[in-house]
Amino acid sequence: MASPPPPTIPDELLEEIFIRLPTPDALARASASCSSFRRVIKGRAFRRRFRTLHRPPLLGFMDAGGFHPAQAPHPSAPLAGALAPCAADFSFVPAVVSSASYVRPGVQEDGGEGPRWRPRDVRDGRVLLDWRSFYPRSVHMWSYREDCARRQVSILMDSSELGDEERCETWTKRERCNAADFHLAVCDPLSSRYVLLPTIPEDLAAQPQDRLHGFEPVLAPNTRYDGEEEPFKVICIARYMTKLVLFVLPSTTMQWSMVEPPISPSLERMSCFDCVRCCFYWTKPYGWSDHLMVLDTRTLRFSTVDLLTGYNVELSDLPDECFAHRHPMAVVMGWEGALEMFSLVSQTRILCPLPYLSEE
Amino acid sequence: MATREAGKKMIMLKSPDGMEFEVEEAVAMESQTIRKMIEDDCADTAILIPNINSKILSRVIEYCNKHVPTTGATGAAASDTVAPAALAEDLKIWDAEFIKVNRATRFDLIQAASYLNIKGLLDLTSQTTIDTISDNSLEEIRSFLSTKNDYLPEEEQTIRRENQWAFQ
Repeated sequence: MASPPPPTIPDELLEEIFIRLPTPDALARASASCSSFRRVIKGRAFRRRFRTLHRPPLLGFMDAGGFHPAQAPHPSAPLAGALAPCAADFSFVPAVVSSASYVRPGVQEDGGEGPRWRPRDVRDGRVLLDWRSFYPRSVHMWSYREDCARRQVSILMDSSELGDEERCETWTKRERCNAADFHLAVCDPLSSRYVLLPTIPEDLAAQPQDRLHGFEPVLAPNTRYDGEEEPFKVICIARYMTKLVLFVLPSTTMQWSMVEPPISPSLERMSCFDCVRCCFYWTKPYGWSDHLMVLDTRTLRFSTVDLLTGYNVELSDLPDECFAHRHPMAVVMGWEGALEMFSLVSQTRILCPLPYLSEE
Repeated sequence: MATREAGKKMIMLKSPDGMEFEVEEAVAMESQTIRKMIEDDCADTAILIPNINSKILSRVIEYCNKHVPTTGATGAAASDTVAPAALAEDLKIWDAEFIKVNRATRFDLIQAASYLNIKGLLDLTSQTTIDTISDNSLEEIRSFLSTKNDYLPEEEQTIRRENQWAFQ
């Protein structure tokens, strides 16, 4: 049987076909097979459609120590491994040159690295960077093991970073007190795109008229997934001695504004937050509490979730050894979309997920 | 099919090669394109479907005929006699049989489904194509989609290198 002349497939039909490819690697293989496929797959419209249909794959985790790619048997492991060398390379973001950023002479710890951009928060493929300009801010409460050496890094949780008396002595008064001195950038390491955020204006930073005690910038999640240039929002949780203030910068205006939440939770010694569905959750880093603090990034309001389980008492009664090895609690999106909380106590004991509330 | 009651509104679909197909309005409205024409009152008694020959059009109508009751009444009418799950299973088997066509016909069907905007048929035809290509080598993908490797050797090398992870 003579085969009919092969039909040429118009681009829009190729799109229809390729949009159904299940994984990025199948997409990559198709794009490697001929140039017209590649043209279709690389097209903006196609990529946008593909993204709305297929959730972006989890590539790994990032903290101040770098990028930790997903490992096999996770399906993203090959892609994550291929991207690992560039995922935590922020050298494409221009360095900050300003009077407030200096390296203390003679300080050569932390691998002898000088000033650099350091990841503070990661969300939706974007990385929030802060300019690590001086030595004291590189040493924090969080530590992990690497090559047998114990390296201390800050991840998202460094509420105590400014409370470290020994380190604070090396700070100038200006740095310790001024929210206007923090340099932030948001970047996408995979496409090497970045936005340098303006610093918080001096007059705005001076408004709380109090001594700054802690400064935690976070990247608020997107609520929409439809465009290529989705808006983002950077929220800086600034703790002062007597109050808590939020500095907020939406990417749509690139202007800082200050919000003083009417209900200000006691965030003293509270840390370890997770972000689930546009809300950040805080728990106590030490000791057990029967409530969570919640910051809704859409309304910029704080609230409290009472767990009402008496669970904390039960946990407090555990032997000291377990207590010493406890890990921070985590708030996660559980089955069927309900919020769940779990905790790891000592190395082996996982306390089962604790459904405590579902989204209204 | 013989049980279809009389008095239902019929629509005439015409292919460019002059064939006419009389179908129930509900069946024709499986196509969002035709539905829009009917709703906008652009349709007289006969609708000319350009670019789709009678052979393909008859297959498309066959598909719509099969799929119209379940999508319309969400199985409520049928559930008296057959369980919806069994019905869906039956439909799946039917689909699998329906799509056993040669490559050229399948692409014609994709094209027709795309033009007529029949989501189920577009899903079926495209997904079948995807199932065939997603686990295959470049050569198989090329041969299946009737395309030639038009990269220059060095170009292909670069692209292969960039996408190395996808070939592991």
